[in-house]
Amino acid sequence: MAEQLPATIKRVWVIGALLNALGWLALAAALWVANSWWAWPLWLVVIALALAVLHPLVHLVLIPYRYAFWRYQITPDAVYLKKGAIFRKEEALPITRIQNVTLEAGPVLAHYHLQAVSIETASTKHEIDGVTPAVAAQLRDQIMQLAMEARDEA
Amino acid sequence: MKPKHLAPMALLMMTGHALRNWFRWLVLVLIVATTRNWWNRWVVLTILGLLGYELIRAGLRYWRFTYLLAATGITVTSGIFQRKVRHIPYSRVQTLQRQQWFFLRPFQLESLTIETAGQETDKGEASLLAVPLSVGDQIEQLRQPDPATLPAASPTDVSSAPANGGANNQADTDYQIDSHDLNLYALSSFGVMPIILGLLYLTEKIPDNVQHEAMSYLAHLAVLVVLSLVAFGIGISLLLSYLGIISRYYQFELTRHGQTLTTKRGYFKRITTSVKSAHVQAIRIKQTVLRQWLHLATVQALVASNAAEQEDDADLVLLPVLPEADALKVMKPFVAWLPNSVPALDPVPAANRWLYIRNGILLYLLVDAVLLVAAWQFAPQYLKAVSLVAAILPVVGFFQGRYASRAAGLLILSPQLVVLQTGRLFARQLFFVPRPAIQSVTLSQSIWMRPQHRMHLAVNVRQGDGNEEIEVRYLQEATALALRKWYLHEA
Repeated sequence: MAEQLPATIKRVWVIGALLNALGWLALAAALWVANSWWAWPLWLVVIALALAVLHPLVHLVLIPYRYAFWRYQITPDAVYLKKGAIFRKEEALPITRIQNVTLEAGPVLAHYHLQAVSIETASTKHEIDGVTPAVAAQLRDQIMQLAMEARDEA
Repeated sequence: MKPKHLAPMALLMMTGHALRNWFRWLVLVLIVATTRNWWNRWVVLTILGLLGYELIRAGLRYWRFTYLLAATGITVTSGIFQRKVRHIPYSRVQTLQRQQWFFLRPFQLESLTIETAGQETDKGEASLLAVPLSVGDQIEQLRQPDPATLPAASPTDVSSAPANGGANNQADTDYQIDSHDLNLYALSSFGVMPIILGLLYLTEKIPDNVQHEAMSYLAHLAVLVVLSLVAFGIGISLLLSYLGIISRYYQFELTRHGQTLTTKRGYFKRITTSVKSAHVQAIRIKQTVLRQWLHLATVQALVASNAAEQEDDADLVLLPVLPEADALKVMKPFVAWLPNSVPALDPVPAANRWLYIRNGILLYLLVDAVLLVAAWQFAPQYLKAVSLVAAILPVVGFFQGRYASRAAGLLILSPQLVVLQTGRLFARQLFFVPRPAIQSVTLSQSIWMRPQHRMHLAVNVRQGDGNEEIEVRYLQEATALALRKWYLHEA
């Protein structure tokens, strides 16, 4: 019943992890410059480098689990999102609380023909990492339709 | 009807606002010019020119600013060159805040801030700096007959409210603060801490040579004298904080006219805020440890508007302080969906409480690690002092966790109302949340919590333009799931 994300999302996550590594490397470079110019301690660079390896590595290792546990489900009454491998999280919101639905795609997602869906209530935002454009449009229409019906009844 | 200008006092206020922005620069220039002997006619001319410019600009702004109370809405026209005309229909006025500075009182004037719905914070606002009291009354009256919309959580409210159009000033329900309680509240305030920190900061800022001289002088004084000086400093800051709170909540008053809740407070600046009951998302009863001992409580409303943005925690204070036992009894006539008494909550299972304590200690150990490394690396001379602090912090963590674990709990009171309690940073917060106001519910569980069937629960409620997450941790799985079921089950 609950839907899984498209398998290509894993590649998007891989790229995300690599970009993460780049970020840490940039920080390490900056710290190295600080070390040579203002004699900042060298171990700061070491820590940044270690994180540049560890952080993406943890991400990469977890991707299969993350993928395996990610589920979304849209019933006539509510939207359910389940995510997380080690720290599992389930978000639930009734359709009647939905204020708007936004579809978005950055360059990486667009390259894999995916779209991120974000569902907003009056105070919270709930995101589905990536779905195919067809599913995204269908989701949007379904949610908006259900939201409208629910509001009419109220 | 003809558009009206603000009262002439507004011209003074505008000038005041403009000058306030320049004030510190002016002081700086004066100091520099005096000490460096820069005085010449150019400096004087520049200053006079700037002052003149601001005066003229304030004058122009005043002259070009008009407002009109038409049959359907308020029209505000402003702008010196670029004219801006805003129409705000009365029915769209979400909150009307009335502020009366002490200097406006003799003239029977006040400042009005008219706020509409919508998340564009500043654009939704119109403010009239100084207008006769009758203007506010008129707006209040014209926006009254509006059926409540947002959460349909207060159906009983509608029936119990007499059908008055707000025309008479007879309140349906009225509450005035007890001066004895206000005294206790001010005395039990934690507002003293920032002032002490401020004093410490100032002593840091005193130039070294002065400090050295002072230190050598102090060294010759008896410890007793030093201690009494410290006590004096603390006494002064206590007094300031005390007076600050008293002047803030001076003659606090809460009234209900039909569907509108109105609070009035303040000595130097009398602030009147009104919100529609329908915009109240949740009610919070808050007590710090200190006030728990004194059996005092504060009642706040989480409101879906910016009405409360100048308040503590961005929540509208409904009752600043009253005896804990009376909180609901007093509040009930104002917010009909509240229960009559504080129910006994289902607490976090005793077997899960140690987790709060463990997390509290772990958190502070982490802080310790950062502190110690920083001290060892950058300020070895303070290492001893930092170690002392580092030794105390986990103890604080223990008590903080213990406190939180004892406060946490929840209870589904009716198909429409849930009660949640949390204990963050030695302050107990009891929330009454109507189901329609809950935007979403999040359950979380780590894989280590799974075998023991433990679960965190977070309920999201709109507060101002943002979100208030009410999280109760380490619940029994069944309790958390039951709440989600209750929430999603549409009646």
